[in-house]
Amino acid sequence: MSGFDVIVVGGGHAGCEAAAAAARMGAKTALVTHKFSTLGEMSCNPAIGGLGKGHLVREIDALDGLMGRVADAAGIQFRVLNASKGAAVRGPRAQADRKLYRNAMQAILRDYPNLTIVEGGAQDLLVQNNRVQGVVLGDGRTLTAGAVVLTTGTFLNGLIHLGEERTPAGRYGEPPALGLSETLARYGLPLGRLKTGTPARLDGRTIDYSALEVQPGDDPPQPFSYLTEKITTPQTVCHITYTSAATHEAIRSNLHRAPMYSGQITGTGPRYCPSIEDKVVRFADKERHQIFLEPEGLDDPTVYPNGISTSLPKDVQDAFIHTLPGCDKVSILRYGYAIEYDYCDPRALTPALESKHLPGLFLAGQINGTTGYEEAAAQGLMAGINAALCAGSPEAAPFTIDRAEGYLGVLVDDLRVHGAPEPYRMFTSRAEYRLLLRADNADQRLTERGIELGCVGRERANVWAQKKAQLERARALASETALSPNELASRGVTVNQDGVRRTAFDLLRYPDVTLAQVLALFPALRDFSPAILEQIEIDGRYAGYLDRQQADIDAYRREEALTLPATLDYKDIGALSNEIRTKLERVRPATLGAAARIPGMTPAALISLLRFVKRAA
Amino acid sequence: MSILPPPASLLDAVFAALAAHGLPRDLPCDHICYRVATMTRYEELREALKSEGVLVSESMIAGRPIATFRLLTPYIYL
Repeated sequence: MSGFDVIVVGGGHAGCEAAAAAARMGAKTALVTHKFSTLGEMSCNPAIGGLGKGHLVREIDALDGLMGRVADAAGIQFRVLNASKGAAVRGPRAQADRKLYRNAMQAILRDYPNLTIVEGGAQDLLVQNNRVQGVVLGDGRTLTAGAVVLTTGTFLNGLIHLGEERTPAGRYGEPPALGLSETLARYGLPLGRLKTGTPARLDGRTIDYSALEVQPGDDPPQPFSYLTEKITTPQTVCHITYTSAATHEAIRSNLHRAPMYSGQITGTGPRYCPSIEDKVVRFADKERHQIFLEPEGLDDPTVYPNGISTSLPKDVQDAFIHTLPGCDKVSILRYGYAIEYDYCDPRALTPALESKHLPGLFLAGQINGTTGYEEAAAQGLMAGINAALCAGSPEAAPFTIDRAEGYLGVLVDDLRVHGAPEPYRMFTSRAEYRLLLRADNADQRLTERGIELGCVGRERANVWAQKKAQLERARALASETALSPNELASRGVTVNQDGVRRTAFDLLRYPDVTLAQVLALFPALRDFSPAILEQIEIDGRYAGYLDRQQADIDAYRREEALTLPATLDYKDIGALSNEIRTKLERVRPATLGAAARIPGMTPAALISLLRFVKRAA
Repeated sequence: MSILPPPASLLDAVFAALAAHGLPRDLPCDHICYRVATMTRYEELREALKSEGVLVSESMIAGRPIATFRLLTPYIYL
């Protein structure tokens, strides 16, 4: 039992994904978690996906990860956000039944090949010759492995703030991990402090929904996973309420009791998911803020009021929540709180998410300064794969995804280059090549890489092979069969009488030509599924833009091909200023392109690096 | 100008596109951008252009180096 290839510490979204990925790679894997029953717990918002985040879920799924399938099993309201906008920024999202999600994750992991679940708390790392060799559990057991993945979430030195009360905890009702933080600091990993928060939970049976806006899901719901044909879980709705002047006054008059403002909290919080007290202060001119009342489950009366995370004292939470329309008689099941926790500066990681200070140690999730289940799961997948590769051979080339291949690559690169001065969350705007990095084509971008690597199972490989063949046939049809201007005119589509025959792809470039018209003109296309036709439509509509983006990607890849040695001594490059040299030494960019993305980098410094690379070559 | 390609065809296309949107063709044009695909090419051109203009500024924009030159002989486009 004690000898493993990979040990994953933590059973949250990063840990589950890391353990499953390592196991799929063929590594004998242990997942260490306090309790099996909390594997896959959604500690905060019972929802998966959204803008940027939905893209990550699809990419995880494309590499045969778990999150998409689990969300499909647990989803009780699916919506594609930005559905009316361009394909690049559409984000699939699902409200999840918290219990169904946990159960689905546990059902998958319980019998996962190569995976052993170990109940216990990791107290320390086993380090020999400055290389991590395993973990020591709180009960004294020692587990050895070739690589260890830490996914401790908010548990590392976690401290919950609820008004003036402070409680050491990893999350509500669970103890923090104290020893590991000391170990990481002892080995020189740069630690910082971040904070996040969660709102109160409400009893839905005491909410008056009659006057509230209803937010239905999409019909039919669109699954996350390329393996899910149809959502079969019963669907429900969310409701929307708003804060009011009375809500804001109740908060404003008690700001001095908010740990955020009293100085009790020192960690930096997520700018994009601010607490309600933060919103009231920062957006003082706004008369109201939207709150989504999200059901936590089909047979669970608990409601998650999305938009009012807070660390105000209980009596203030009582006061302001009761001012919300529909909530004047609401019963509060649990109060909101803020949690401060330690994180490791991700600039101290390699592209494989391995610690530069402690080889054999991989970090994923909130420990790297990110926020969100999807960001955590994405890193878990990458760290799990790389830990398995490292356990097989410490010299093995890491598995990386670049910024032009996926949001997975954007995430890891951003963390390594910029660090996490505030909790990092994914947005579509973080991706330069987002027209190509769409949620709808993650399998086309990544599944074959996963098959080559060995992290994609047979079922998905078969599904992908069928889809690929269909795509090739549909693309051939859409680019080869053509109609003359006269033939088009006789069927109601007017184009220039220039004698040029036009294909389905050509016609889709006309903004006023619909897909339905194209299908009427080329009936053979009707044989393909809606998913395939969606790809054909996007290929046609954005053809010119996609070509241009591909040219940008080619240029980007040329810079990424200029690698900087990991052992490079920046003191050898005379023309660098001390400031730039310090930045380069901290980040240690793997390529010239990565160096260019470091904030504060100058053209002169880049040229010096370029000359150095050329000389070295 | 020998180093860079003549910009007339580009400017023709730009002003034709402006005209299509009802904008006048005689708008003053105070700078023109030339984009290259690699750092290597950037460095080559930057050095070469020093003989044909004055390097006014150089900075990083969105991870890309941008060099601005005042040409010794301006383009005339009428």
